[in-house]
Amino acid sequence: MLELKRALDAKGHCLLEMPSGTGKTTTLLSLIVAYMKAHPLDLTKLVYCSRTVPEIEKVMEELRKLMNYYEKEMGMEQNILGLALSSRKNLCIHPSVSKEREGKVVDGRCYSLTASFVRARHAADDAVPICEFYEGFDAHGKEFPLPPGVYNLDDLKEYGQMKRWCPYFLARHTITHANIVVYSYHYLLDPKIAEVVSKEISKTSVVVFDEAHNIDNVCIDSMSVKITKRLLDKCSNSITILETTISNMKENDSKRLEKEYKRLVEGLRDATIARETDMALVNPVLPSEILEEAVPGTIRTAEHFVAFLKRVVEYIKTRLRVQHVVQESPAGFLRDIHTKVCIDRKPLRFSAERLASLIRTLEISDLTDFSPLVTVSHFATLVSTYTKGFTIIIEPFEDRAPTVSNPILYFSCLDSSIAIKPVFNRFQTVVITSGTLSPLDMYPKILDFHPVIMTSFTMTLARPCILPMIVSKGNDQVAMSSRYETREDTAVIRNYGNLLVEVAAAVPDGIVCFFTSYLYLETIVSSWYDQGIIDQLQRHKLLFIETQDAAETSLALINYIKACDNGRGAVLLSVARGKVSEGIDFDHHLGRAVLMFGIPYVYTQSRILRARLEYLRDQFQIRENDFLTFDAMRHAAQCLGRCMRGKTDYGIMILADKRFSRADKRSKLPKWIQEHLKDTNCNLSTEECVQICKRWLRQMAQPFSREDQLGISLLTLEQLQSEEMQKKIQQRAQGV
Amino acid sequence: MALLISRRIFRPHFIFRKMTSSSESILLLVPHVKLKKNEGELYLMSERLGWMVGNKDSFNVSHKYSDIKTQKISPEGKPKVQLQVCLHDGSATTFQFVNPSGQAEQMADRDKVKDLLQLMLPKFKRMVNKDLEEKKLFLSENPQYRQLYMDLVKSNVISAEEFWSDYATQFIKQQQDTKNATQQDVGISASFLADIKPQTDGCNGGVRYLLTSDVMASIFRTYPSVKQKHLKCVPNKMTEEEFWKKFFSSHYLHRDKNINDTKDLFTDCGKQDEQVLRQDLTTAINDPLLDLTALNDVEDETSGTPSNAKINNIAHQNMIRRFNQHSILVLKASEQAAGAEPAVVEAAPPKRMRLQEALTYDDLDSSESNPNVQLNLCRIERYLNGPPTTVPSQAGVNRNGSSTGLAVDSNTFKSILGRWMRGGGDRYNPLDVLSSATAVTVLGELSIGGSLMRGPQPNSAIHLTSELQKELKELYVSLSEILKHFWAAFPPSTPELVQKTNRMIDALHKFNQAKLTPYEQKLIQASTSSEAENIIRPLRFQLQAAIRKHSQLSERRPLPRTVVSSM
Repeated sequence: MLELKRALDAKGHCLLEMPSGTGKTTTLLSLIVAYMKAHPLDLTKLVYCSRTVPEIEKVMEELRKLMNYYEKEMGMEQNILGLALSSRKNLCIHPSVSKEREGKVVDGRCYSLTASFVRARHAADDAVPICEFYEGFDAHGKEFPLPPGVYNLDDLKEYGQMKRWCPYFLARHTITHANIVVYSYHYLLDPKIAEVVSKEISKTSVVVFDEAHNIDNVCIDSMSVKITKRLLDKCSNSITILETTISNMKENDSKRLEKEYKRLVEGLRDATIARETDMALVNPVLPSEILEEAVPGTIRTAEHFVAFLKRVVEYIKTRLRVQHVVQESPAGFLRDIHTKVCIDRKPLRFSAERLASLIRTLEISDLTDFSPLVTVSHFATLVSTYTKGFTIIIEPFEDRAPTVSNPILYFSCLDSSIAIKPVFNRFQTVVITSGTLSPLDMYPKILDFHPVIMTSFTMTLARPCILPMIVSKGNDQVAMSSRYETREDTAVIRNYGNLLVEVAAAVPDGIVCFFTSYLYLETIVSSWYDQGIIDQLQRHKLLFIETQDAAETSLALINYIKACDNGRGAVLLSVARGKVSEGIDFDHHLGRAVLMFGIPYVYTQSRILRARLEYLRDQFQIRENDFLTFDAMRHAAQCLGRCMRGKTDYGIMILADKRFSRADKRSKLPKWIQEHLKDTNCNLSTEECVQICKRWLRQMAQPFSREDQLGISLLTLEQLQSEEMQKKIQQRAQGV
Repeated sequence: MALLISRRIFRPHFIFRKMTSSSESILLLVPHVKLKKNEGELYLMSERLGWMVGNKDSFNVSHKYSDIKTQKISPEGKPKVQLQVCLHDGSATTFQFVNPSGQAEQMADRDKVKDLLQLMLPKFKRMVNKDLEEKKLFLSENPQYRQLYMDLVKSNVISAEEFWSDYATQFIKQQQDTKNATQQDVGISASFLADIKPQTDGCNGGVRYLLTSDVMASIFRTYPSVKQKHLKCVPNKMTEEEFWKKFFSSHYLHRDKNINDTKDLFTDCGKQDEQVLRQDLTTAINDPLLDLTALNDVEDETSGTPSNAKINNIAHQNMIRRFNQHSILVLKASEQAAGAEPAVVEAAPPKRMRLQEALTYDDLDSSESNPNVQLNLCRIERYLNGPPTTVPSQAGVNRNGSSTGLAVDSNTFKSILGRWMRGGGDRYNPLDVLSSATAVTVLGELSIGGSLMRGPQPNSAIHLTSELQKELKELYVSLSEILKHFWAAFPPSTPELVQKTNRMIDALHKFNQAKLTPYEQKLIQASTSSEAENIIRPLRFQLQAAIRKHSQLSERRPLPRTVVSSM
């Protein structure tokens, strides 16, 4: 809190690592809200970004609690409006559209019901369906602002149902004047969305990125484009549709096209003064000076533009017809496209805007078919806008299956600071926080910003709640490691299996295991089956395994939790960097032990990664190995942190790889884990590890009451206010 | 008593002292039997079994056959040859056979005993209803109930059934608990398929699988589709053996097998299982915090087509899916066994509740939610002394909440209030608050020598011998128990309740006659009659209050009374 306050005072950015379950969210919310109340002019808005939908909803509930407390203590209604924003998929209340499960379909159908021309058509002809909720919002919602309060997604829906207003558009409209906005990273980082949603957020806001250990990857993903053969084929189809529509329109209603042409001559800016609903298609970040310019003459008429698009698509197709891997810079690509098909940089730059405008003019209501074409137009715009920090890689086949032709063009962002730069520049304070940010000094480098405060906090615990251990060898003294050279070794696999079986026999309730990759998980499971280890494991606990299908994994997860709840106990095999490791908490009995089999290095042979590493080395002077280890260790820590939530919780953390005990790996673990990692526990065999586990579990199973914590890790109000404690806290704060 | 004569050993002269009945015959005598390191002889007689140290003539241990629940013998190959008899009360006695002539003889001895016991035990298994045993156990474990039982049932104050149904509340609860507990079935081991270990028989390279009925049951419970198949196929299409042979070669046992092998008998079973799983995918994912598909707000385009899925080993994926499926089905099977209503998909807890749950930290919540309601007394002395009563004789009745008593009370209270009001108007007249006579008596009571100034009265109970004291306590306990039930039946609005009050009042009368009066006699013998009366008075008072109440009731509404007895 002290650090956060300092950062707010200094109007600078800060980087905070706080262990999970210590009240990160509450601390952030309560201090920032208090600050907003105290200095209403300096700080007007809090934008809280989290990673997943459940996380967003949790933050909202925390906020609700805080507001209730304020109300109770101050005895009056608080004049603060808190709001969660999510995609249409999660907010739609249209009776039929909301039944769709896929986000894109919902977006598309929503667009087909709410686009301005659809509504204009409806005005002429009642048979054209529109969304009554949007109409309701459009008619009344803008005049009446949302009353102060805390609105979670469900509250918004309820409110929308009551008023017959569309919750999604209501929420988007409300963002501009809400005091607290909670939404996903993408709304701020993804330039395609940020432009629409977050444009009007004032400068005097504080932005919090929670669970931000992966923020650089989010930045990169949001700027990268991947084009496959199939996508291009679909593009060709859409282009033919466009052509026929244009020719039809020419016969029937040539005026409209002319009108569009005129508008385009005047400049793009005017063309985009459209209704907010038309923003389903949005352009990647374009420097605003470009928007002031007129659209180049070559693509002004509809036919010309379609022909232009056709050329681009065909050009990319020819580029995909390669036999070997090609890597080039955007500049090289632009030169090549100029020489081969005579396309200039300037029209390419406008292609996204131009396509959006065309689709609007043609009154095409079903957008889902056009998403491939939109992707290509985005690519064209991006490639011609950014020359630095990006690379183009064309792979004719995947490395693992060189015989199957599956050409893919990657337009990859190498510099995570590009996407986040506007955020850092625009807002006065950006707080980046997570349970696992170590090593802290990496983030300022890769995100290219200068934090005023950078701190890693630990937990004050009444008892040793976590037991991190590094198991380096099996009972047969064969070293355990997921090194590339030894990972297929049966002895290593068997040792991993034995470790799991013995831990499963000793540890009650739930055990979660993380593997370095899905491929490795599969091979290990099949060898375990052959070695009979699975059978042994099933004698102790039920076995659940993460699959690549998200729905199946959810089902397995639900059953895993059921098995833990009813006392049978279960083992969940899962993958670091997978969905389970990122979004699911295994608190209390759901995760009494976490095993990390191997160091979760990213697949290093990937060319995209290679390119990025090179870029990092050249631009930021980060050594390849440093970055790889940093990346692996933050994922390992993320996996380990899954089992801790709160001070009453306890869990074993087993790092099963010899390499973890090296200083460069160990020192990169978060401080709160390192604190408990004793030197004696850094080089254990399976048997020793199980012995330590048993002893520790016995100790932990003793009743643990609130009184035990009081005065140490839990303070009553009186204790907090006592002078002695104040001093202690001061000391500790300085020690940090 | 039927006289059974053993063919082997007959010692009619042997007469046991501890016997309740006359002599019995010995059916079998086995020497060299150790019990707790002492060597002795084991006797099996017509009604019981006994053991005595060699040179004694009375049994150190003797069990009636009717007390014995089962016998157990040590498994073969153990160094000690032992036989254990388990009794109905849960205890057990272990005899060790130590015939010096070797283990074979020891075994022979043991088998003789075992066989004879096997013969004898069923005869004496007079369907000891389990119930009775439980009751016995309960009484022995709970001395206070045992005492109550002695006082009330043995002295015929109430019948035994009444005691068990009404009085022994703890027992009733306990029974219900056990009833609930027994409903829990044993789940299925996750590794039951792994337990079917193929064993190669050396000679012709064949593989043998060991299949027990337990495993079979587990398979059926876990895989309902296999059960259906079994029902369909076994009697008419193939033999049991063939069926299981096919099963062993199916994908259930070999998880890496491809499911789409059309020749396999179990292909459609696999498909059915698959379908169930698919259904679950759509219905069972009801926890918003766990739905991975809805985790990301903005979905990335790559998630739709897992491009690297193709190159991965499909066999591995199938295997993983099958492991998941197996675990899910095992869990389901045990759930169905546990819950009375099978497979009802429980309603998902509301999203908000789940969120709240995920947010609350137990240790941070202050413990203000104390389940006990605090009694807030504004006038403690009133609570301790009870409301002032004008008619002392009614006090007992009033406290028990009778409506007439309350009416009387409130009437007098009103009249007192009225007096104050009349006397005062707005002028307060202290003379009207108390009548002068009362004032004088109160003064008298409060002056030295008055009843309220005597200080702590020397408690007469102190003079009692400890035995009498104990008895008095027991009397109190028993009486209050009966009274509790008597008052619990008020107001007797239904015929059953009326009957209950009648029964209770009879019990009270009986109690008076059978317990109270003899005790009083005893007291009088021990001390003076006045003191005895002092001690007994509260009991009498309680009794009389109840009886008076009852007679009031029956006057108002003449009830058929079975027993009318005088005090």
